[in-house]
Amino acid sequence: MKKHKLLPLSETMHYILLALREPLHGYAMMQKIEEMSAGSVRIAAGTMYGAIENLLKYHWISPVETQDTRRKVYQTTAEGLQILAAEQQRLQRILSLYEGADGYDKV
Amino acid sequence: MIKFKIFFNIEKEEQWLNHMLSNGWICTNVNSAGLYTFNPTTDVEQIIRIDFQQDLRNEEQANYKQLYEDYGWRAIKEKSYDGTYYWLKRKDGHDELFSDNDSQIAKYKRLMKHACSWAVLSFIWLLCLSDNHSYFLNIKDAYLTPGLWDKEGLAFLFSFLFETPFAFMRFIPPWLFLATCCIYVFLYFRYRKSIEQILQ
Repeated sequence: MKKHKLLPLSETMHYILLALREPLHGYAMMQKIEEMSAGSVRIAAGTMYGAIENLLKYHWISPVETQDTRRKVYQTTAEGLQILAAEQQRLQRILSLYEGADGYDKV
Repeated sequence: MIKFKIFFNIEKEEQWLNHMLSNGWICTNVNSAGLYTFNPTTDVEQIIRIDFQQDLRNEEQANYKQLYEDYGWRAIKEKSYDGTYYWLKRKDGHDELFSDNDSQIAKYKRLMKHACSWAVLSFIWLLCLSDNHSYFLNIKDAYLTPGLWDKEGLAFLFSFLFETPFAFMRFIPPWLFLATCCIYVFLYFRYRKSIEQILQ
């Protein structure tokens, strides 16, 4: 099977999907991600816009109805959460290799 | 101050606008005909970035602009007809529009698509204009006045001058389209090279 275009998730996509487990608009997302990453990831405006468009295209996030008529608010969809779960497994495997497992047993 | 300049490459254009800004001239309007309006400014600690987003529908455009404005970018011109957006911001260390390679590459891909369609379009126009005509190979053939080259003296001069604007209108456009086509083909490969440089 051909791998999905967005997989494995880039750092940007990873943080956005994680941040959007609660509904947020673009700029609030950037702020939250900056906080989540202890200041090491600051997603620029154009990158944020493109990432949102991309994630919407694959239905990994979806717009949420809110009072704010000017700013669109988004949230990670069930499909997006599945992607996150799969990525978590993949990363856990890699982490276990970091931590000395030889990769042949368990995991 | 109003300046006339035509850019095909938005990166060159961006450099020029920032150069003007560092000399105390801030761009306040850009017009599709290539006219740039500048006002003097003492605040040179600002930065201009040109973004390229084609095919944004109205609602998307509002959404796109709101996001950039939330980030502190201010649009230099309100509407975009050609997909270019001019953004201005005070320098604060976060002065780029893109923060990862993927989105930078995506921008170049949008630009490549744009360059490609213009190259093809101008080539088609070129074919239409040069179809069955030799006007643009030899300017003499672009003069359609019967017997013009056999005339002499004032009669020649009068007919010649009268026909000249029309001859140029036949002679120049194919060359213009050819030049446009070449420029866009060149740009296409330039953007492709930029992507390669990012991936290196």
